[in-house]
This record gives sequence, C-alpha cells and structure tokens, in this order.
Amino acid sequence: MSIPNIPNPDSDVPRPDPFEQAVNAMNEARIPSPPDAEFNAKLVRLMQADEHQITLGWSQKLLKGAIKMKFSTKCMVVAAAALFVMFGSLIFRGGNSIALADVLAALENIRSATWTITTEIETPQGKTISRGTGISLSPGRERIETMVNNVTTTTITDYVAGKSLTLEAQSKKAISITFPAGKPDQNPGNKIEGFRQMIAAESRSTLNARDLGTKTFGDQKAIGFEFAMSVGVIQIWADSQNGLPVRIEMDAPATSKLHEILSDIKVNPPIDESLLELKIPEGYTEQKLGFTGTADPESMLIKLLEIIAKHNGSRFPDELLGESGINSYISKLVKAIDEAHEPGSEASNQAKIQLAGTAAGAIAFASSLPKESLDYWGENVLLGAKETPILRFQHAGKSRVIYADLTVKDE
Amino acid sequence: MIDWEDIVARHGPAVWRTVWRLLSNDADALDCYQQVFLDVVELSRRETILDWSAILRRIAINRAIDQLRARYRETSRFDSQTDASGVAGVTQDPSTRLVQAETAEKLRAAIAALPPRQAEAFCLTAFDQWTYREVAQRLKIEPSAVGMLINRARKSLRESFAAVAPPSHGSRSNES
Repeated sequence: MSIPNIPNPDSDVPRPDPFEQAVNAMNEARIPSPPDAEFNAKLVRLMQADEHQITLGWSQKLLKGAIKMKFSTKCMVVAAAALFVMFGSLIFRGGNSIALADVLAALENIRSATWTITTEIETPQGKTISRGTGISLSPGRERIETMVNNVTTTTITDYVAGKSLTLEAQSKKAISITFPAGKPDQNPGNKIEGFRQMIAAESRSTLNARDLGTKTFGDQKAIGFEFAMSVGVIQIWADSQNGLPVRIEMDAPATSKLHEILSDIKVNPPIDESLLELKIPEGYTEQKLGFTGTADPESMLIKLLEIIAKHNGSRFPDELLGESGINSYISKLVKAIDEAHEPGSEASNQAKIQLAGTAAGAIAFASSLPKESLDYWGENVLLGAKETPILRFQHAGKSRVIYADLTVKDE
Repeated sequence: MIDWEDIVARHGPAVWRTVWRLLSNDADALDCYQQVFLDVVELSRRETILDWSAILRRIAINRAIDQLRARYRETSRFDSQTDASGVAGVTQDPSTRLVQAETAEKLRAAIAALPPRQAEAFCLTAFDQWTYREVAQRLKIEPSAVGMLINRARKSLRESFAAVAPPSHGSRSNES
C-alpha cells in the first residue's frame, strides 16, 4: 500500500527505501479488535463523571488511579502477593496458612480491620476448606487464626520485616519463615494493603471491572464490583452508604485453585498490638525456614524453567502457562521433594519454601505478561541449546528474550 | 447534553486504529484510547465541537505521539514495546516478525523525536490519510505550508531512520 497525497522528496529513488517500507508496515499493520462494549461502558461512565465533575466514588477513584500504574509495578506486586499463596498451599497442605497471603480487601484510609475468612483450595492432596478470623494492621502486619480438623493454627506476619510465624496449637510447633521484604510499593502487605495494591497495579484489567449491582449481607446493603485480574477474579462488596468493603471474594486459578472469602469486615477497630508480636510461646518447638532465592520475578521464571527442564529430561514445558505449562509441573516437583525428604521434616519444608517462592513468583510473573506480545517457543527445545530463543515478552518497557541456555537479552 | 455513549460507539474504532497503529501495544493503546476520550470531555467544556471525527483523530494522534515520547524518554533507546503480531506481512517465523517489528519501531522512535507540529502533520497524512487541505484547516495554516511541514518531517525521519544501525539478529539465526 502506498501513501497517498504525499509528495516524495526523494522521487529519484527508484524503489522504496527502508523508511518507506517502515511507513507501509505501520499502515498495513493488523490492528487488534477495539475495546469491547464493557470497556467502553466503563469509559463512558468516567466521561460522564468528568463532564459533570461528579465526586467520584471509591471504586471509580480506584479505576482512575489504576490507569497510571506501570506494568513493572504490577508484576512485582502480583509476584510478591502470589508467593505467599504458594507457601501456604505447599507447606501446610491443609490450606490453613493460605492466610499468609493472597487476597485482599481495601480502602486507602483503612489502618486496621478485622474479618472472617473462608478458604477453599485444591491441592494435589485434595480440596480443603478452612475458616478463621483475621486482623490487619498497617503497615504490613497481620494475624490469622484458622481451625482445621479441630486444630487451631495461628499465623502472624510482618510483611515489612519479611518475617512470619506459624503456631500449631496441637503439635506445639512453631515455624518461623523469613522472606524478601521488598520495596514498600512492591510489598504485598497484609490482606487489606495487598488487595489495594493489586487493584491499583492492574491497569488494563481493572478497567474491565463490572458492576454486580446491589446485595444485602445481614442487614447491610452493599454494592458489588468484579475485577478480572492477572491472578484471578476479585469481587468486592462495599457498604452502599460509606463505600467501605464488607465482603471480598477471590478466585485465583493462576497459582492454585483457590477461592477465598473475606466477610464481616470491620474497618478501623481498635487493635491489641500484642496479638501481632512475632513471639514464640513457651513450650513450642521452633523450625526456622527461609526463602533465599531471588526476589526478581523474571529471574524466578528463568529459575523455574531450569528446574522443570532438569526434572523433565532437559526438555522445557510445551507451553508457558496452561495444561502443559510451568504451572502443571508444580505438583510433580512437590512429589519429587516428598520422595527425597521425609514429609514435614525441616529439609522437606525448606525445599518446598524454595520451590514455592520461585514458582509463585514465576507463575505470577508469567501470568502478568501482556499476552499480545508473548511468544513461547520452548516446546521440544532442550535446556542448554545455544542461540535458541524459548520465550519473548515485554517487561518494564523492554522486549526481552530468554534463550534455552537460560541467558536473557534485550531486543 | 452530549451523548458520550454514542460518541464512543461511533468513533471508538477509528480512535483505536489510530492509537494502536502508532503504539503497537495493547496496554499503551488502551491507556491512550481512554485518555483521548477523557480529553475530549475536557475540550467540550471549553468549546463546541462540530466535527467529532476530526477532533478525536487529531487528539488521538497527539496523545499517541506524547506516549511515544514518554516511551523513548523512559528507555532512552530503541527498546521495542511493540506487538510483532500486528506488523505487516505477518509470518509464523518469529525472526521475520521481529525484524518487521523493529523496523516499524525505529520509525516510531524517529516520529517521537520530531517537533510536535511536524509529527502531527506527518502522522495525520501518512497514517490517517488526511489530505493537505484537511490538515491545513485543522492546524490553521496554508495548504502550501502543510507540504513544507510534511517534507521537513519526512526528511528528518529519513535521516533519523538511516542513522540507526540495522539490528543484529545473529543470536537468533539458529532458532527453531
């Protein structure tokens, strides 16, 4: 296709030069479908609010604020948040310490909150449902008590310090975990903070939020919004009078089959801070664990690809994510750890912490990458093959390529 | 009262094509697309808009160029932000797609470096198929001045384009 109506100052050039070819390439580019009706409906609502200078509700403020967030921040936040979901699902198996992380709740001015929590998680060992209560206190502190099979487990976490303590009442076992605390804006924080960050970091997807209408919980009338995010789908129900969250539900299929409900949320109640001290009670036996791997999500992905290839006869997964993707190998890798170490032993738990940290960051990172610029060529490629690209993606404003020898280059 | 739903429905696809062609990245294009419509709301408070199509496409061009400038300020080099699948002559060969993507990306970088009016005039004619007369009306200049503006833009673009060394693809030569 030529360019109409533009005189060519280099008309003595007999054939298109690279510049002209580039112009033509842009003109002939295959344009993806425009934003769908749902996206446009949200946009129109923002336009109408702007037109009349309406005071925006909290949900619309979230939407507008989210637009400005950078993709790199999103990746870090999502990776960090997902990491602790994996800790819970792999280490404690009962699903009770899912409490350590994932999901959310939130408004910017919430300093403290109490809530009840219901978690359903599908692990290789089956589906587990746990219920408990929680306390969040900013910055970055949290306590969750759950009961599974009449055993009470308490997890106290300080995300700022990068420490958590899990106490199992029946066995009198205390597990101390250290993990990379990260920068303030990359730290998942407690459930309230984590939720807020994940919403804010989801630039595009947040715009896909849809109204769920109104619903009554007890005697509380609430308005609902659903957000399609990289790590899953989140529903927020907020008091229709003051906009404060009363119930949050999250499905996170990317890292594990997780359904979590935070309900009966009370905002800014007085909190007894002694409940949040990382102090081991007398009579408990301590097991110290720590995630010592990289906190960089891209490096986590490279590491996981290496682990999988080594476990899989030097072959990379057939696809990045999906039924044959990196996520499909986690249960096999856990099984390998259980075969190598006595389940529940310090060595086993430490190995699982390393795997969980790496896998969670890697999967969350991979899930967060823009699909439209993602190319995976790892199928049938062997680990170590020279100059053979296996993955191309966009991250932090750069086009990156991972090769089969695990080197990574900018393009 | 302005029917924004109708405005978005009627002009959204054209705005999308304009911003995506320049940005070649879904996330950036979505942000830009949204900003175009929020900008036109702001503009509608200050003046009566008679030709929505023209004003939206012009805002789209300018917003997309702004975003390109921000992109290259941030990276300070020709790091690709593009979606290679949208490049002309798409093949299944990733190497070819990358070469095409990088060629177009070089042009984007060069456009981002142009003076604002040259960039706008060039993009409106080269990618949005505006005539010189239309550009002259919108930029409030003589049609002959449009020709000069575009010729200068093309000269600068060609020089910038030629100044960038072709990318090396040696490391990808054995991909399979």
